[in-house]
Amino acid sequence: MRFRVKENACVGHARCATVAPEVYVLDDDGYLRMQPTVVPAGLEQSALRGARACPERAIVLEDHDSAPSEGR
Amino acid sequence: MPNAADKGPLPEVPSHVPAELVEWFDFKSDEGFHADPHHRLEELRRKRTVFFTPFSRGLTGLGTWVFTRGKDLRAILQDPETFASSGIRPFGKAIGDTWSLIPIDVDPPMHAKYRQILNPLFSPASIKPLEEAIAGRASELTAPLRESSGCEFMESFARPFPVSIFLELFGLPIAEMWHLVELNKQIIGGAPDRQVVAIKTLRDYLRGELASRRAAPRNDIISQIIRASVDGRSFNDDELMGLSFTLFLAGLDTVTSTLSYVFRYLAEHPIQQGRLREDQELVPHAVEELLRSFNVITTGRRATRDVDFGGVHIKEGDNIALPVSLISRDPEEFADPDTVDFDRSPNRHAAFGNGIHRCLGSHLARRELLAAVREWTTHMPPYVLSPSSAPRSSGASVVSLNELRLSWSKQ
Repeated sequence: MRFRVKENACVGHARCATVAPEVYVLDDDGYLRMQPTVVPAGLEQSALRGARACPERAIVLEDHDSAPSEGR
Repeated sequence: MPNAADKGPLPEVPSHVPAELVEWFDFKSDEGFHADPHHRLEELRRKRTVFFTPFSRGLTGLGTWVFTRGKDLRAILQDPETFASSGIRPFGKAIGDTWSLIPIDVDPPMHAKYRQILNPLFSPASIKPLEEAIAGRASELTAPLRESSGCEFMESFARPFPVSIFLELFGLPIAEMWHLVELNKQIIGGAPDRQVVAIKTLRDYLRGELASRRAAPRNDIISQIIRASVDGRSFNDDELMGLSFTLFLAGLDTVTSTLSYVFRYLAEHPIQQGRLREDQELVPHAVEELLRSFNVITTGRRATRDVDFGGVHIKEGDNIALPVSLISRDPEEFADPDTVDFDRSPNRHAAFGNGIHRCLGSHLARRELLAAVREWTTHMPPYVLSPSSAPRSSGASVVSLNELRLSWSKQ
């Protein structure tokens, strides 16, 4: 599983990093500006919870063998 | 049509608005809205996906479109090119000044430059060190209450608490508190003439503080803003006033009004209150869910061009009102939206808005709400709504309970 942040979609709610700090790390502005990242094994549920916490639906999770989802 | 007998002439309906889309809903005086703002908005949603109210909501004097579906509201907030935020909160103009509220009343690309400076100052990491001071202020305010058996919560806590934090940010003495509480009350809910006087008084006060920080910088947020630069220059006087005024306006009544509904809910739901007393780990989840359940803000946007959206034709310059409660309680997105469920997950509510104008102070506001709920579930006895108390709301852009009488058994 991989996550990416939709371009310009993060506005700094910081919910992802509150819910799943082991997956999502904010920059000094408090925004998620990470490059597309492979979710470490075992943290898939955290990644999903963090993506689902985003009020902007900014985080896209992608499985290698299925269509992208927006943490719905 | 409403009965116009006691309200003077009705405002005009713009010619491009079809008659069947007109709903005479007045945010400022609707009886149902002030009896129960959240359910009144639900009622409007059940009736229409969009309507136009000819009543003005704020200082612009214009009627406004109101959208009621969560996805429409979010789409508008996420599209600042089509739906601008500037020019609809003319506080400076109301007193003949040239400053505007920064960053909320500013559009891209300038907006991003201001946020770039402000975001790190209000990021979760920057706010965290204030935790102790915030908890301390909450505790100072409840200390005198512990000797009594009840209080009027708005006056004793909900109004002074965020003001005390603002003083902290501005490095101001606590002695200023009641003066600023009163000013805030006048600016938000005062009659128009008193509102103007209060805006001027606050402007003069902030101007004095800005001048003294410029002469002798300290470590507070306002000094940091004065030191910052935008486009390779320092902020000018209008920008500093617009920024300071916004920090005052945005951070005080919003927290006060949210506290009013949060504490009414806890007072009326002893079992839920008891859960928090037994398990402080639950408090952040509870605060998140209470934030979702009791959104207090109706924000605004202005169409930058003619556009067909959500089934209606909007003309350039039209105002749009966005009650964010309708996002956070949208049944399409939240199961049982009317149920307060501390264990709700996911919980991507819109209490702090959506899009680029996401509340800058959201992380601070959360800390304040957390500190308030923690204080009242650890250092205060179980509290209930005082008998015969029937709290009512007022306000248009920000709704709040007018008063909230709590009582408890003295320990």
